[in-house]
This record gives sequence, structure tokens and C-alpha cells, in this order.
Amino acid sequence: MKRRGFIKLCSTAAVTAALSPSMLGTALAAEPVLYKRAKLMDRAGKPIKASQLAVGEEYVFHYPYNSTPVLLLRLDKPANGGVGRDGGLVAFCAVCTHQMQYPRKGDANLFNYYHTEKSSAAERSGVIVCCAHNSVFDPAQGAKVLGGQATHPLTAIALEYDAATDEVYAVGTRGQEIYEDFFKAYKQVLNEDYGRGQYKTLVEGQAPVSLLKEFVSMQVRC
Amino acid sequence: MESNLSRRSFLKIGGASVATVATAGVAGSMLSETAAAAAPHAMGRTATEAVLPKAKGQRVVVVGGGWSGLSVAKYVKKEAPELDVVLIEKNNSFMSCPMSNLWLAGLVDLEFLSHSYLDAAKNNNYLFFNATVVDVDRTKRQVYTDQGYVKYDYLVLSPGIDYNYEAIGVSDPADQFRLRTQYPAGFMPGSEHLSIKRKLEEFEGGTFLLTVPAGNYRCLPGPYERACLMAHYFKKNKIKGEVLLLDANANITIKAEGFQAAFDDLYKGVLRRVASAEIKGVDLAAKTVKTEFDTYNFTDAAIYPRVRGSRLLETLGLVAKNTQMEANIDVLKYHVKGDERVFVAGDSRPMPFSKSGNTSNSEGRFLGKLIAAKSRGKDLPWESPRTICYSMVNGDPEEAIKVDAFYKYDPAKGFSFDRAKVDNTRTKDLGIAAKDWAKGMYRDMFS
Repeated sequence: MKRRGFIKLCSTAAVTAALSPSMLGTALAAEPVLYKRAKLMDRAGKPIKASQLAVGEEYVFHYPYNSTPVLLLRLDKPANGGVGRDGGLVAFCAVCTHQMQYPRKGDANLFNYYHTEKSSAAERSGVIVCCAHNSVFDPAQGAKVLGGQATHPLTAIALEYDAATDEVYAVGTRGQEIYEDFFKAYKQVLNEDYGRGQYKTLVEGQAPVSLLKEFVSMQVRC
Repeated sequence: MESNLSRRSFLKIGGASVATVATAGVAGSMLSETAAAAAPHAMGRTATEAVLPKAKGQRVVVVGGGWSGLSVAKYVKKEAPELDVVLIEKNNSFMSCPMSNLWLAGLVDLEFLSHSYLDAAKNNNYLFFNATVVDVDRTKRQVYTDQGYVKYDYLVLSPGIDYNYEAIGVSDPADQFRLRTQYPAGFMPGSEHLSIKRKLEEFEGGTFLLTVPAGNYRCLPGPYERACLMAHYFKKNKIKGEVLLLDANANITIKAEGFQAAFDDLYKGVLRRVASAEIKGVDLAAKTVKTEFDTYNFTDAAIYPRVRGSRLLETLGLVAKNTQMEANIDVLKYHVKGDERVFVAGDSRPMPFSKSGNTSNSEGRFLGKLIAAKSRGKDLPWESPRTICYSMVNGDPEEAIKVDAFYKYDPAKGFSFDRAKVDNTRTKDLGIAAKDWAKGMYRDMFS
């Protein structure tokens, strides 16, 4: 199972790189690092159907660790590295690569996707913006940095799509990871939120997906 | 509008400093007077080498553990792990000046502002040396401290600011000393801030005086934000009295509309700003300050005089003409003119950048890359620092305003603001973002 996923992802990555040389140097050109496979599930415990996710909505799940947030988006156009019938489904680690702002459960959130709404900080829509220090990422281009002081793209989460069932799996990461820095920076908070030493548990089997706006206490946009 | 302001301030600074040069060094005279003739800075030199782990590569010594020094130390090591980095700082723990106004008004606790140099050094793989720098020998490449000397291959000086009391008409050193200790400015964190908080908490009524200096002072919006949050504290605690803000500048120096709106909407009768009111003298016994035209009484005060570059620069003979006693460096390369191994960054730089935490942090990132490049025999073109600066103008609900700007350089005109965006409408979102901005910065420097 794992082995098959790996081959599939590798070949996809190779094709992507060959088709668009501009992607070299971004997360998508890199080979994925595989973690445990997890099927994306809704709140009722049923598998998520990719084509039923709302375009432009912000979803959150945790992967590859139980404490590391992922922003799941269905874009209105095929994206580099996107999966699903329309190729618009992408997922990125929701920890800003500048100073590691992230959506914390029940807290105000500054790390958001702007679908049609224009971000005043980025002066455009269609971007992920971190309002703590105005870093801007392009989800259609492997979350490459468009502005701000982030120096590398958000870590991409490798998704596997089952066209027969319309179901989606998280299987690994692509590009530079910042998990060790994240754990180091937030050790106190993570111990508090997940129990002492419990925040590094690898997610396996299922990954429950929430609406970001319901996961956090309020959305701070800029 | 802002770039005009800044340009004007810059010119003003130039004019003011000529007078400053002639009279400077009052508090720094211990070093200079005694050793003046033969060896201008031989006093602090000791024969003993400081006890530090042996350097494993070329050593970069960073002097000063404020926002600038912490950022430079981190990013030099990050960009060039083969270099050995030592941060020398005289304080043994860090207290943040940014966000300290929030703490004064009780919106964050002291833990929010306080951080450990040991954590910063451990997490970013450099050495923290808790010592006071007294001199530098640039020929031998040695930094002298009260605990022995440290050899360097590259030296970065981030010594920050000092206060200039001469410029507000207080010339007697004994008066300067009293003013500085009794009515501290509160822009060099530590005891100054702790004392101001206590003053505020013990205040029973009357006039609490704050001042905004002329020139390119540290944290342009700081005095206005402090006035707002102190006024908020007055209202909340039903203190009968007013916060009097004597502003040396005709216009509010930054985020003017946002501050003016807060003054008008939130603090009528509690906060009074007087424009173009530079202090020209202080009578400590009578508790009055003089401006050109008027005299003002105060019950208690935090008097912010003009700002100048750290006195350490003067001791080292590194002060540039026509600046606020700031560093004599190449303004695009940061190195001392004629010495490409010694750099000056942070608030004692001579460039008219906003002297703010975000400016120093972003500048520190560039210096990290630049020194890494230099150590490998390469060079880098100048990159603008970035000034992202929030001001909490309301304490309940917490609402802030914001500016986000870069700088551009023109050989003929010098520096001016570039791509400046100002959010003058106070919002709760910006209030939340302000705190998260700071948390991110602390993570960057200490985690």
C-alpha cells in the first residue's frame, strides 16, 4: 500500500516537473516524504468526497502529526500538485514559514486563504496570507512565496485521490518541513493542548476535517 | 506624506547634531577624560582573554542583545553554520520595548515581554556571553569587556540608543542624572519601564506628563501609543487627571490620522496633546517643564528626551558627522567606513529608518546573509529593511492601527519610505494581530 503510493506520487511529481520547469525549486518538484496514510473524514465520521468540498472554503485537518495543522483548499482551477476530478484540491501545512503562526483550536486565527475576497495586505485574492507579518503564498503554485519575509513555500501535503470513490488520502509531505522547529517553538502550548509529550503522534488511518472557521474562535483577515 | 515627514526629520536631525557633537560625552566622560591625550580608549583594555569555548570557525562577535543583535546573531549562524557566533550583552535577561505599553496598561503580563538569552543562544546555536563591552581594538580584532577580551573575525555592533538630555535644555550632568532616574524616559527597557508602571499604578490624580522628542527617536508611534494606553488606564481606574503629551513635532510623526481619531473619540478630557512643544528645560524642584512659549506643571512624568547613538560608538570613535551621534558606516553595506570587518546595525545606524523592532529584525536577516557572504569572499546588494508596526490605541476593546513600509535609496536624496501602507482605522483584528506579531518575533529570536 505504502510502496504503491510512493511510486504513484513519484511519477506524478516527475510529470509535473517535466511539464512546468517553473515548478522546479518549489515544493512540488521535490519527491514526497511518506508518512502514514490517512483518509480524510468529515465530522460525522464519513469519508470526505472531494467533489463535495466547497470551492474556496477553508478546511483544516491535522497531519502528519496530531498537532500539525493542514489547510485544505479546493481551488476553482487546476493547481500545480492539485488532485481531484478538477485538479484543484491542494493541502499545505498551515504553519507560516516566516515565524510559524498557525491556527490553534479555539483561538483567533491569522493564517487564511482569500478566495474571491481581496486581501488588503496582499492586494489580491487567490492567496494564503499570514496576517501576523504579511507573508503571502500562492496555493495554485505549490504555495510559493509571493510576498513578505517568508523565505520558502509552505510545506505541501501530498494527497492521493481515489477517482473511483472520490475519496482523498493524506500520504506525506513535499518540500521543506518545519515540524521540528514548530515543536521546539510551541512545546509549552502543545503540551497544554495535547497532553504532555502527546503532540508528536503520527496520524494514521483517518484524519478528521473541520471547517477552519469553526475550528478557531475568530478569523482575523488583512 | 510620510516620506516627506521623514525627509524633514532627517534634515532636522542633521542640523541638531552639529550642536550635539560639541557638547556630547557628558555621561561617557569617565572613559574619555582620563585617557584622552595619549590613547583615547586604552582604559577598558585588559590583558586577559575571556573564558569562552574555543572558536570552531571564523568568529563573529555581536555586541548588544536587543532586537538587532539577537536577529543578527541568529541569522549569521543560520546562513553560515560554519561560523562561530558570540552574542555579548550586559543584561542577563531580555525585556522587550515593543509591546511594553500594553504591559503598562495591563493588557499583557511581564512574561510576555521577558525572555531568556540562554534560550536564544541554545536554540539558535550561538554563544551568549553576559558581559559589558568597554572597548574594541580593530587592529588586533579584539573586543574588550569587563570580563576579558574576545577575538573576532567579524564584529557587529548593535548597541542601540542613548538619551540626549542636552537637547532638551538640561545641561548640568547632575540634573541629567536626576532627570534620568526620577522621570525615566521608558524607551530603554528594564528598570525604566518597571518604574513607570509603578508610577502609573500609584498615581492618584493630577497631570502625568509624557513627551515626544524631535529627531529620529526610537519607536515613532511609541509615545502616542503610551499616551493612549495610559489614558485608557486613567479612565478604567477613574483617576482624576490628565495625560499631557508635549510633542516637539508639529504633526503626529506616524499613523497620524489613527492616533488623532483615538485622541478625539476615546480620550477627550483625559489626554491632551500639545503640538510643537519641545522641552527647553526642566525644573525638577518645581516640577515644571519649559517649552519655547509656555511652562507646564506636572504631578509625575516619563520624560523622553532626544535620542542619540549609543555612547559606545563615541568611545570607539565611530560616530558619523551630521547624525544624531550615530554610526559612521556605509549606509548600504553596514560596515564601518574603511573597515569591512566591523558592522553597525539596529538603532545606532545613521540611516533614517524607523527605529523599531521589525526594522531591526528584518535588517538582522539581511546582515546574516551579508556576513555569511563576506566570510565566503562574496558580497550582496542592499535589501531594504521592513517596518511593520502596530499601535494599540484602545485597551477595551483592544484595537490597533498599523503601518507597513519598506525604504528606497536614491544617491542624491538619500532614503525615503517605499510601498508604505497605513491602516489608520483602529480594529479588533489589528489588535489581535499586534500581539501575534510580537509572539512571532519572540519565537524568531528565542526559539
